[in-house]
Amino acid sequence: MSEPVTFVERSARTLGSHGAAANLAGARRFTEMRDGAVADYRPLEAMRDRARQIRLHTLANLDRYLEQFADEVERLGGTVFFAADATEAVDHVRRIARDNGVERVIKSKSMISEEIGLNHALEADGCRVVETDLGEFIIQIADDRPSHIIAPAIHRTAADVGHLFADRLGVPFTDDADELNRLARAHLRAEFLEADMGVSGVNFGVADTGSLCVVTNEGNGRLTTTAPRIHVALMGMERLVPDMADLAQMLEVLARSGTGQRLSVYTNIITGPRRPEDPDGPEQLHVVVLDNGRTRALSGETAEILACIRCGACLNACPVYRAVGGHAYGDVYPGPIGAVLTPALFGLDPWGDLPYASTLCGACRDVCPVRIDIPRMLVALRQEAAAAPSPPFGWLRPGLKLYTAVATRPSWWRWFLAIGSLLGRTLGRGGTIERLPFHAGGWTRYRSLRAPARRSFRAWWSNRGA
Amino acid sequence: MERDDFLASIRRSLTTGRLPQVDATDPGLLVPDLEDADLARHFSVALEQADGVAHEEDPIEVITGIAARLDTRRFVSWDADHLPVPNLIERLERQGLTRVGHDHGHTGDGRRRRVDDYGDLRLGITGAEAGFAETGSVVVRSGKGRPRMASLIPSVHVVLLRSAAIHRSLAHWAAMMAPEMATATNVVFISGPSRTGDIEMRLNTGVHGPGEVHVVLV
Repeated sequence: MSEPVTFVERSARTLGSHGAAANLAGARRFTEMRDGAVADYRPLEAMRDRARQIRLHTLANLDRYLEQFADEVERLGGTVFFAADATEAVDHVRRIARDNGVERVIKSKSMISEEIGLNHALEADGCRVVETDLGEFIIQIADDRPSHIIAPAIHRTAADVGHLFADRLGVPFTDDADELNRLARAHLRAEFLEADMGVSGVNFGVADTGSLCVVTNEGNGRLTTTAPRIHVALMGMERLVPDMADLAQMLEVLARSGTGQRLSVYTNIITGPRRPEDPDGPEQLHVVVLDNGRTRALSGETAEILACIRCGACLNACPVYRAVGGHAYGDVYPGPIGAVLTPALFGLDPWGDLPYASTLCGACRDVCPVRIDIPRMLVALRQEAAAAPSPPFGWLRPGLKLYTAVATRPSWWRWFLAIGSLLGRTLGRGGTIERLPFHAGGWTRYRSLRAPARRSFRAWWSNRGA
Repeated sequence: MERDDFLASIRRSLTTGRLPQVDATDPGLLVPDLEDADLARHFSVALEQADGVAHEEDPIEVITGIAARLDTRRFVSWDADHLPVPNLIERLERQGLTRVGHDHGHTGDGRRRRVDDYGDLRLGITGAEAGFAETGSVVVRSGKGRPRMASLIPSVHVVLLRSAAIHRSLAHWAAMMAPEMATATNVVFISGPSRTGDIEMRLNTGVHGPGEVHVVLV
């Protein structure tokens, strides 16, 4: 089977699988948890305003804060590498691994590493690379792709995972979630203690101290950044806050929005590599700051999307994401955030249809802890996509031309209204049309269409005296 | 890419990018207005909501009780002078418990000793410099005599926390202590046991970090 290339084709694949139901149930559960957490948190709206202010202020001064951040990391004894694209980032991490004789690598969840395709490159160099977030571990041994920002294996059932573990880890089959967790812990424990290098993502970099904040619930983020002798942190260039007070402020909204917790289990703040007096911790700290399309996103209508703190709330709230799941969005970033971020980073070709994967209902903006106006950017990207040499839908440009022709000619307009009334009279039953003919039938397959009025407003108006 | 080129390209983008304007004045940390309840009680309730356990009994009794239940005699801990209970390690050793090493280094030999010490370790004991009543969290800072792995690698973590060090929330604490968050290699806020919902969103504890967190208020 060839790889589906459009959003519609990718959606069709998910909709036909049992993962769709698991995905929907998960998104609903996350939404309930978030709603529960914000319901008893009165200062939420003020905190969201403040969080938005911090992130937008940081973006507006990003060059300055990045420079300060890099100076501080280096002053502490770490290194900072600025990677223009995925290749530069991957080559740099490979170089660190090679120079230090690294054989075993453990990873905690990092969307950047997915974005740059790090695992396969390190494996090609002969390293053993193990994902340690339970969801990512499942995805890795299944050779699958994550479908949710904070619950990567949300589309897989416990029985799926049971078969997978039996197959790949050589353990007896079980579909008991407790037992599966225990098996994963036992398997991964040895990996942590034997690894040479840990690769993590970064939730926030703190500009004025050069600190890294890595938030996890499982503790794998702490183990990855504590147990090996080398820590490599992958960070999108936009993921900064100016200082520790700002970090504390962002933490007020992050976990509440993401998982409905007041605070995640481990809010881990790392400042530099191990110091002489420290009994443990990595001897080397390497931070990789990644552009990979971010300056492109920052240069236009989509600049605001870089304020995102990757909580995942917009996915769970989105009626389209709930139905089609994360894989339909094609790249690393699913849901409403992905519908903007993927084309903003990598261009509308081939991602021109993603901005259409939305009803523009605004549920994403309503739950966003930094109030990102995702619908505004979706509309801006649609405008750009429609004006491109090859718009995402073949019918789009001829369709709009036809509409323009009709809407600017009163006689044509009246004629089309007459067709509408005719349809209403012939197909309408009790005010609705239950089945449209031919290709239009898809529209009425699961819903009714409200029938056009039997007499148009114009007809009524011109005859009102009669 | 060179740092200067990287930053220059950001500056170019900022000249054309459409970023919503925000007020440039920094109002400082917004501290939520929370009820001024009994902090220790509030802390215990929040910790239990996060599946942790709060204790007010004698710390030696708590720890030896846990060790007996876990059927273990070995533990990792911070050095005695960083724990808020006098002579704690000595007193535990008198009860027949053994403290394992924690300063292994990253050489081949150190790594082997670390696997021996930590491979199946069940009990870890640390102090904490503060607690947050709102979330049941403890603030654990690394440094001399305070290994990071002690709160991370065992299956049960016992934290000794002075009741007087409990603050209302992270924001209340950070309003005073924010600069201190960067003065150690590692500062971690721990809110209950390790948890995951990665298999069908069903809550499980202890997948990587400790599956039980006991906070003994002293």
